[in-house]
Amino acid sequence: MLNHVASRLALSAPVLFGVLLFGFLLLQLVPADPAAIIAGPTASPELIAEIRKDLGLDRPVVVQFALYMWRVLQGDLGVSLISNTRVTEDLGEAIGPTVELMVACLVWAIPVGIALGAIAAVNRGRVLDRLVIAISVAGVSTPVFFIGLILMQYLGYQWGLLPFIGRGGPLWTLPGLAAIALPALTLGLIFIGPIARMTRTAALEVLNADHVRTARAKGLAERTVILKHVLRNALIPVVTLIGLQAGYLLGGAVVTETIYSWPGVGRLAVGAILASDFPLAQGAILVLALAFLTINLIVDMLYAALDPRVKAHG
Amino acid sequence: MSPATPDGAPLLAVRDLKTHFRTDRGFYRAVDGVSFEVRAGRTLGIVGESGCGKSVTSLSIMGLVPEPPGIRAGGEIVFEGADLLRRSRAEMELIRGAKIAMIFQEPMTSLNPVYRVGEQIVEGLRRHRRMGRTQARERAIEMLRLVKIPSPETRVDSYPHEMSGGMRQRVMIALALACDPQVLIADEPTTALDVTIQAQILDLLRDLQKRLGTAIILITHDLGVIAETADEVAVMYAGQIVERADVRTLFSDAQHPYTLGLLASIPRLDEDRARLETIEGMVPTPDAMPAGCRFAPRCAMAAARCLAETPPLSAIGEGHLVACWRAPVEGAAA
Repeated sequence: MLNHVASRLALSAPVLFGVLLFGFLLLQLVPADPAAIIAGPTASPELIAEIRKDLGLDRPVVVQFALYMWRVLQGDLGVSLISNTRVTEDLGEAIGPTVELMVACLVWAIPVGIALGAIAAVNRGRVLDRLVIAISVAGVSTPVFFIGLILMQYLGYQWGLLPFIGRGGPLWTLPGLAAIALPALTLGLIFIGPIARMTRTAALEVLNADHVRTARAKGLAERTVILKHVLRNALIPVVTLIGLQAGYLLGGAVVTETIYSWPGVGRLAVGAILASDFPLAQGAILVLALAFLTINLIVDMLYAALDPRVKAHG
Repeated sequence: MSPATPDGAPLLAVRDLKTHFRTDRGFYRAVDGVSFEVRAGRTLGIVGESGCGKSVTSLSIMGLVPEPPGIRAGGEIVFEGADLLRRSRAEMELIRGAKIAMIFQEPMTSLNPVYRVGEQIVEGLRRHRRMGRTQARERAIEMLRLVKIPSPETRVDSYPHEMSGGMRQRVMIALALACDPQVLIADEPTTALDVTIQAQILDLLRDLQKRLGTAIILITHDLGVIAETADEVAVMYAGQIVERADVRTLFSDAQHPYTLGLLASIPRLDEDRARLETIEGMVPTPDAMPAGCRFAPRCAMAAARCLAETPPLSAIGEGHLVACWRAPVEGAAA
């Protein structure tokens, strides 16, 4: 197990380098000059040139990237161009709420998605099955901003059931829980679709497996057969899917945080990009990439825990 | 240990069993009027080609035919004085694995890959015998030892993928026999195994039967396996039994042309034949079932009556039944 984790971690290093390089180059392509932003609209060209020199922006791109890498390795992500605060501080404050949102989303969406998929598989071809398919197709094909706005409009604004702006405090307090309900619901709704569909497909396949016939031949109760023998095996591809969908989920989190003014990394990234705050944008992208890698690492570990054959092959 | 049935009284009696399937291409009579009995400590071999209905027969006894598309179209399976076909799902669950157990053809896929083999034996014991964890584990180790798995104390914690096909089939046998079932259905238990392992598994089954007094229904397409293992034989063709006899009679005085064809297609060392006999033609498809005897289109001896009327399964000797208008023929097997 430890070897498994170590090899996964080693594989993460080149991915992180790629993310840093790509984030850096992408911002080079943006037709905005950080120096001009800092200097303000009335600044003279000389002042702008001086600021450019201060920031090191007059040096060749390769040198700039090398310096940037060097600073990142030391844990220095630079200073925000807009607020003049350290990027690591801004990100440090934003990571908590983003993790909260992710956990709150996954905690309900994964069980509900798996349950829906299992119910559909057991009732294959009947009304319940069709209903689950319809729900998941709707969930998959509706953009997250649309779901967010609809939920906000009705559950939040018109019926006044739940707060819909910002974070309400720690999750163990009632206002905190109430505030995260709508963002977590929104983000979860786009996630249960893929999970339900994958669970259904996987469960249908496992239902026809020889070992399920063996389980029935043992005289186990049908509930035990489904929950213990079918679902456990069906979860293996579902867990893989969750890892593959992590990027999709993070993208959804960016949108969800923006809609609900949730003070997380996603909203920070959007704000930084809109304001051409390059250091902050690069930092946020790095954090999102780290989140992606972390989710996939957890998924890999879960995968090894769920399927004994994975451990056997190292 | 062995059931308290009076001598000679059958433990399990299948009478005129009809299991049909509704498919997109029409009605499929997979099992169409099959009758046989099994007795404690005896082995009934059911032999026939793929698709003749032998597996569906066994799944019907277990109550494991998926419905739909399966339909209980008739007949009865009498076990402990009641018809299994009329039992509720919950009642069947308590019979399956406890009183009637089954082992399957595919040892490679018949065990759940994500659980240790011990756990897979233990859960049956806990279900039917209300055993505690430790006690059930002891019993599982004992069962693994009984089926001659080396170092059962460590093997009990192996996963199926850590075992060979022969080992897995032994685990399946251990699992099936763990609750002392009165009837064991073995559906092609050796087909997927190497020839040497086949012989070991058959020896094991025979040995366990002697010790435990289990009645075995052995389903196979291999007459060699039948000759080695069975006491009585039922030959199935296209969903029906065409001949039933004790094993000696079947090999010495087979009457049905289909049985004769099967016997002729076994390679023999004591005969100098350039090529093996085959039975001409194909098994009829469900949508083109012959009106009379189902074997008639492939039968060299078929007469007009064979094509028009279905021959009944009738006795021509002590415990010897044949469904053929031509039977009995003296020295047919010679």
